[in-house]
Amino acid sequence: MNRLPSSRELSERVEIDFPRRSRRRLRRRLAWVALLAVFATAAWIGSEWRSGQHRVFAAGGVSTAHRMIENDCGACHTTWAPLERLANWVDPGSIRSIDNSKCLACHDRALHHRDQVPGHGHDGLSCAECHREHRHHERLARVEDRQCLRCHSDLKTTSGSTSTFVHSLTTFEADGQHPHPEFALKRILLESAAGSRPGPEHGVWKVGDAGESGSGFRDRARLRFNHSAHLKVEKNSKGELVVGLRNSDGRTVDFSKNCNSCHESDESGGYMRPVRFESHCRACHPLLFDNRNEPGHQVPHVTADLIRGWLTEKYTLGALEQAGSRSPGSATDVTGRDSRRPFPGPAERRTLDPAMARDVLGRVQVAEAVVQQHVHTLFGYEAKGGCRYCHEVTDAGSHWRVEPPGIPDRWMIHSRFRHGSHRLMRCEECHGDVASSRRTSDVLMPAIATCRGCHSPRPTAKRFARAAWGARSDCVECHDYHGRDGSKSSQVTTPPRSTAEDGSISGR
Amino acid sequence: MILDRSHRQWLLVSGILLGLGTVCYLWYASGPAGVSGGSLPGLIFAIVGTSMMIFAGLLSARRQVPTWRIGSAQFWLKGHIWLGLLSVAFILFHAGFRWGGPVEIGLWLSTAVIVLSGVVGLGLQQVLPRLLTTRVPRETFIDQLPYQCASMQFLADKIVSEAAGKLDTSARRAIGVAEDVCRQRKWLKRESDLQKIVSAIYENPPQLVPEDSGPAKPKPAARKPGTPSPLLAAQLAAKPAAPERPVIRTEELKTFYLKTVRPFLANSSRGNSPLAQADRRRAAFEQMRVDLPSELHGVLDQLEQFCYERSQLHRLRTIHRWLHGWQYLHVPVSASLLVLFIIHVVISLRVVPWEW
Repeated sequence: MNRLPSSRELSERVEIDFPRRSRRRLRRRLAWVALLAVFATAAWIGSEWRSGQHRVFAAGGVSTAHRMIENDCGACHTTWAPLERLANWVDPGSIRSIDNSKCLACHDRALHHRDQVPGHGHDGLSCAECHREHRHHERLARVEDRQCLRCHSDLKTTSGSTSTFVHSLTTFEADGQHPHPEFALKRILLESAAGSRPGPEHGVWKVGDAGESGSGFRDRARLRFNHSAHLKVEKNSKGELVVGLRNSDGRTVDFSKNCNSCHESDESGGYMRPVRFESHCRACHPLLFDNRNEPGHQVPHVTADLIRGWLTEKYTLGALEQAGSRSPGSATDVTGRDSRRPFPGPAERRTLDPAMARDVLGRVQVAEAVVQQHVHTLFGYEAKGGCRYCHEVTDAGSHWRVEPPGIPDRWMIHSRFRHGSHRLMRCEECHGDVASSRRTSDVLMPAIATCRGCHSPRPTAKRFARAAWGARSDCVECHDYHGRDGSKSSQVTTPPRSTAEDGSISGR
Repeated sequence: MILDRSHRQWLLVSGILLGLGTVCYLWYASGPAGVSGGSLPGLIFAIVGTSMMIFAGLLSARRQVPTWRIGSAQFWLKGHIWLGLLSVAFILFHAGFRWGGPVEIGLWLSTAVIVLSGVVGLGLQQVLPRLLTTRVPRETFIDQLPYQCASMQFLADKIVSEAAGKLDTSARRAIGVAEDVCRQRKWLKRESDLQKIVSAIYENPPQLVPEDSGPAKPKPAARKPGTPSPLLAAQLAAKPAAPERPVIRTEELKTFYLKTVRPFLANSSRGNSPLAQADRRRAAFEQMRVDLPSELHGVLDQLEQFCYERSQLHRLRTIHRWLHGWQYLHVPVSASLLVLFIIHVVISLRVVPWEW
């Protein structure tokens, strides 16, 4: 049983004419299946083409902002460059499939820096060289560091001078070969404190100055504010707050843990709104002017001129009204005339009562004196509890001048920052000196080392082993390329002035 | 195709090319412009990778002209394997390890399917041919399976009919191969012998040769169902009848054959039939040997041999499906890849200057 067959038996198992017959059944089947696959593929592509879905041919998903034109290749592409690049071995990088004019049809042109060289060996920078589309990127503006380092690793400028910026910058890491320098603000602060001559300014002097003595860099805001006093708290043995500041509800609160009581973020969550007297200060610092006679009454927090006008109106007109109310008939003005409009016809000419006139004059003079007294109380040198408590008020001879506070909205104007992204951190983790700051001139901005604590380059095998990596640290995480030199107003702003806190008005 | 020492040269050359390509890619990727399929280095990677793919794809074209002296089949097959694998690396360098758009994703998926099915096919071809020689000693051409099944059926029909009388069954397929089988065994002395043989086996045989093709002979009287054939009757007459088995139950044999054995011998039978398993097959025939007289044991032995051969053909078909089945994925997806590749090239290079 189950013996091996002999060769004759094996030969008898095959058809006589089998060697002459075609044995390509498998190949025929494969050919048919392959043909079916070809038709299926062509049908898929054809259906996409007919339906106008040209994105199927794109080399990748477009960014969110370009989704509206993803089926219109001609909106960006002018020529298909690869063949020309193959033909041009000398300078293939100069041949691009996108012309800048297509980009500029929608986007604003903005230079990076007025001293920048035209660009990378060609007659101009191509938008597409940095903004690589079809890479499934959500934001085209998030370009790779290498694009920035093309210039900043060996910086050259049209003026030939690179003293404003570091000549070579290759990494954000502190221990890299050419690390990112200290923030200009902090560097100048440290250099000033050390007594050395501060280096390139990087726009820092827009938000600070060297002080009256020129000794060092300081906050140039012309306002008196003591963070330390505002954050001072004391608790009893039971942990109850006994010393603190009162909020608008009249409760004593620990402001050291409630920075956002004064520093509120804007709608975007990026930056802090300016601190406003009305909403943040008045509850604790009421602008009382005559608490004995007018208990609880406050002057508005407006310009010096308006405050004087407000006081004049209050006292002078008040005096006139009082004078008018003493004469019979309540509808008389200061001259004793009836303020009511008479009917047409022969008018009754009323004569001025000299006694009343003297009385009115006397009241007005008294009211003027009171106004003047209050103005002095608020603005004068003796006004320790008035406007001078916070503001710098100068005597301009004929009038008092309240110096604009000039509090900058942004300190590091060449970078971006989002407070909202850092909301899990406590304020003092970055603004560490705030609790001990007594003067307005103290600059309470963090150093780059604080940022490096969390922001480090992308993980590599080595860093992964050390677990020394974290938040992103690429250039565009903080910096904008376009409009860096101020050509786009939305990117770089000079410290704005608050109209409510400006004042340079006459009136003694 | 066995991966053996003859592949060392290909392996070495492929390794060197891969190393060179990797070094070039690293240099190119570390440049300030980054990687892009449309850049000059990216295009060069694309051309090299595509050339390798085309060479790999030309294997099927080479098979169409086996007589041309353009390298041995081994050379083309080795090139198909090694350059096909290497082309994936170069296409990755071209794409900068990115998926791309829908067409490119289609290209990647096709390439992945092709490479994986090819690697699986290569692995199967390393193992299965050896398995065939050890597990299927009666290996034959896969295209001959229907013929072999039909011929086995015909021979089994003949054996059973000789022992148990004519078979009342539809035997169109078996009769179709009867002439071949008879000729190979030199049973046909005259033209009319085929008709005689078939008529001796089946109750209602079809007319295979014209009536006047041979001298007319009186037909033998039809036996009654269940009575032994003259040959068997003579054998039985020569032997003394066993006292314990006075009746030869040929009807049982015929029923067993027609209901169990014959369907299993058919080309359409399933591999999971009880007779396909050695132990169950042995048990079934042992049972029949117990039930049937020893005079029929020779017939049972031959039927069991046919069943054994048929089970081997089942195994052969299974192995053959594994050996070549991967091509049903490999070849059609390669064709799709070709279509997508053409579209990718046309769109990328814009050789057709249509307006969008």
